[in-house]
Amino acid sequence: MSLPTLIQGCLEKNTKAQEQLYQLYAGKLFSVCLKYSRNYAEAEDNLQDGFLIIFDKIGQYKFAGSFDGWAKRLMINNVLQQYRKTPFLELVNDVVDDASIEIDDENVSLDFLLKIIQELPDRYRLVFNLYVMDDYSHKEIAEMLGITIGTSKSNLARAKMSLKEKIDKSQEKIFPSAK
Amino acid sequence: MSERKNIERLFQEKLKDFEATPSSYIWENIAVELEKKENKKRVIPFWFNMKAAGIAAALVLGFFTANNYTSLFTFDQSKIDSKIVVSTEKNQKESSKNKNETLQKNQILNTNNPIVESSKSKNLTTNEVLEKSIISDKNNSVVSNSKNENSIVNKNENKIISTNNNQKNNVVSTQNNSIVVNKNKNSKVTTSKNNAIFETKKSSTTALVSAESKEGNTNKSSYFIKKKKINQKIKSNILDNTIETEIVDNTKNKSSKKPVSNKNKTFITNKSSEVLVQNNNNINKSSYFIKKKKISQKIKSNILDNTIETEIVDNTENKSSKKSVSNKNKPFITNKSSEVLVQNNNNAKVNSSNNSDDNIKEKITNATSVNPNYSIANTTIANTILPEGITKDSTIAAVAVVEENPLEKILKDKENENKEEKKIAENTQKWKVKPNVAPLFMSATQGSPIDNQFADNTKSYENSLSVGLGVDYAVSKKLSIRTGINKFDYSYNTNDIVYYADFASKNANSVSKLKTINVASDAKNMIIEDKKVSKSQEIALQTKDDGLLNQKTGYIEVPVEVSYKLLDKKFGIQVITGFSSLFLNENKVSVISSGLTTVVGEANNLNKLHFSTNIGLGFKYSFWKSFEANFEPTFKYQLNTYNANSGGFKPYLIGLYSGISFKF
Repeated sequence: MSLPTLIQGCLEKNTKAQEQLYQLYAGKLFSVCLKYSRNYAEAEDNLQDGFLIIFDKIGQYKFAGSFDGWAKRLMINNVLQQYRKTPFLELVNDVVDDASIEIDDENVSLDFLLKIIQELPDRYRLVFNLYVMDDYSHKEIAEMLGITIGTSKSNLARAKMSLKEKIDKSQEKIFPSAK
Repeated sequence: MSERKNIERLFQEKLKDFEATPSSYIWENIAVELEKKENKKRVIPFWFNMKAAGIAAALVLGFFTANNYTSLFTFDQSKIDSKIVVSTEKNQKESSKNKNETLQKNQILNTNNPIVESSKSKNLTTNEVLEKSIISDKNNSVVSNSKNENSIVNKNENKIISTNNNQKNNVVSTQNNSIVVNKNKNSKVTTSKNNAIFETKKSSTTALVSAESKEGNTNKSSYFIKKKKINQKIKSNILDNTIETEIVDNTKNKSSKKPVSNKNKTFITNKSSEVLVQNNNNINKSSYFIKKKKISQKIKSNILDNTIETEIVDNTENKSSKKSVSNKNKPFITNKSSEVLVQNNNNAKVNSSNNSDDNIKEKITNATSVNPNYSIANTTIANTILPEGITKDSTIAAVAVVEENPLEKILKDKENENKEEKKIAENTQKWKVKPNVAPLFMSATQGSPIDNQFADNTKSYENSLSVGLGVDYAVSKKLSIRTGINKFDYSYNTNDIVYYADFASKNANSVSKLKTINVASDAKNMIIEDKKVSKSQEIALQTKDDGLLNQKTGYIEVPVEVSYKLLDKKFGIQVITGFSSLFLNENKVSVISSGLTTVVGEANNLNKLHFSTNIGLGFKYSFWKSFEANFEPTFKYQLNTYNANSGGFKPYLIGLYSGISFKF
């Protein structure tokens, strides 16, 4: 089935079409959820909610851009809804930005990176993902999260620092003699 | 390997494109949720459902307006009026757009059009390609054109224009692909594919010639033609040409050197030249492969299944030190059914000081017209080639490449998609619910259903109101069947009657003189008579009061109608015809005198069920999403209201049915 027919099927609440669409995009969108959520379980919840929203709003997809992008935006917005409102202790906006790191690519597993992203405080995680993974600008992020551009920048820097520390630590564990 | 890396890059590399498979139970959960939602929708108040919400809104609106239908009526009219204005404006816009397009088309097709017009039309097309304006606006031509005028591109445009002019004199075909080839031995012309901007660079001995081909406006596609390897010995006339032209289908093959699979091969032989033309038609998606070889004054071409009309028109444009001199040359090389006649008539004005150093100044315009409706076998291709030799011996290499502009393709695809979408939307919205309210104007033929004595009496008809709910089902795009339920009553007065109490015959049912009325107990002694008759037989001691005899009947109406849409845009017109079944639910005859009403009884000659034939005209205006305002003046002729003794009285109604409908 082509994508337009699938979408049409979803519009008509055809379960088969819905399932096919889910199978088609679950992988991609679950990765988004994993990056944006606190842990695996929440990522699953968010994926579920996100898909329900996608099926609900599929009529709004006007074939203007790629369906990929549309679904992903919906998914991200859904996750943002979950975490944006959680109270967040505002930290001082001092931007430190030197996040280059000495690292051995092969020793850093995807799971580990995912885990340390998930461990970030909500706001850091959202900003970091939006900026680094999904190429949103600070301005867009500021609008999406209802924060200032400065805050967004500082959050990003802090997120990066935090990630760097964790990677450094793990490297030390693996290679105690490395530093 | 340990290396220093930016942390952003690290995460991007590792995480940007990773996919994770969620557990299978996620889908199960989603499926359950979706099902729950569906069920919920059925249970929860119906206005939470979109469709039902629409119907509810329509109902509310309908019945709200029913109370003040007069104001609704005026409201509707104003709406319709304003709508008409809007739609005409739109039409104007559209028609102007169309004009532009057809203008363009006509100008290419017409044989004797002035140059100015042709240049206009060409500019439009050129701009479509050159300015990427295809997607945004087709009417930008004027603006973009002025932009182009100072650029190198303009040269090509000019060429196209002049070529077109020549072409017109020679080519008569439904569509034209004009291919302009620029040749200059000392110039290098490169083509950037999307923008078709021609850059000219001097100092190269080989000439890469870019050509642009344009198909007619119908398929809006443009081709790029690159000429390569035209080894040509040009004398002052074209007769001894060595031309190798290749027009390659570039949609599939972007590199000009690769030939694409060909279905038809045509060979036109020239003395010492070779022209290879491969043309991809945008509409029937077939490619033509035309090879020209050794064009001499009379060229024999081997054409497989193709009828090729080739015209070689001489046109000169000299480019030296960025100055271009355009010349009008009118040579004719006509190739009809495998014969090419080359005539070179050179009227070129050459800027000799500039040209003296140039070995070759020449221009080949290749106009290929493809009739999209024809299959490959009967395609007519008109090639107009404009070569001009200024110096005698020269060599030029060129390959012509026909390319379908990818932007055009995208645009087309998008249009198709939109169409499909619309179709889908139309298909899904088959039902329409429309509460309606209608002021009813009643009248009738002569006679009286009550008694013959009242046949001559004047009748006055009271206007009333019909309230109802209709349902439409679209059987096809134009045809709908509709039904519904309406409630209305109507009444009329028989004027100039007298009534009095009958004391003379106490037992007799006085009113029973009026056989069509079952008398109510209150009115047993009442005698009702026509005033004229009654006056003549005055009874002593008896006062006869003047009054009106009112008959009121109410019905539940179930119409079954067919409507056919004459116009179905934002504003629509339809004709409606059908019949209604009317069930009697109110039946009352009363005497009204000086403001007092006495019920006499009910008519016994009314059918419990009767029918009416309906014919009407419907106007609609879609004002918001699936909502439409409707106005349907309908004439309803009552067929068998009375079972007997109707005295020739046949009522008819005119209803101005108006309301707001909801499509789903």
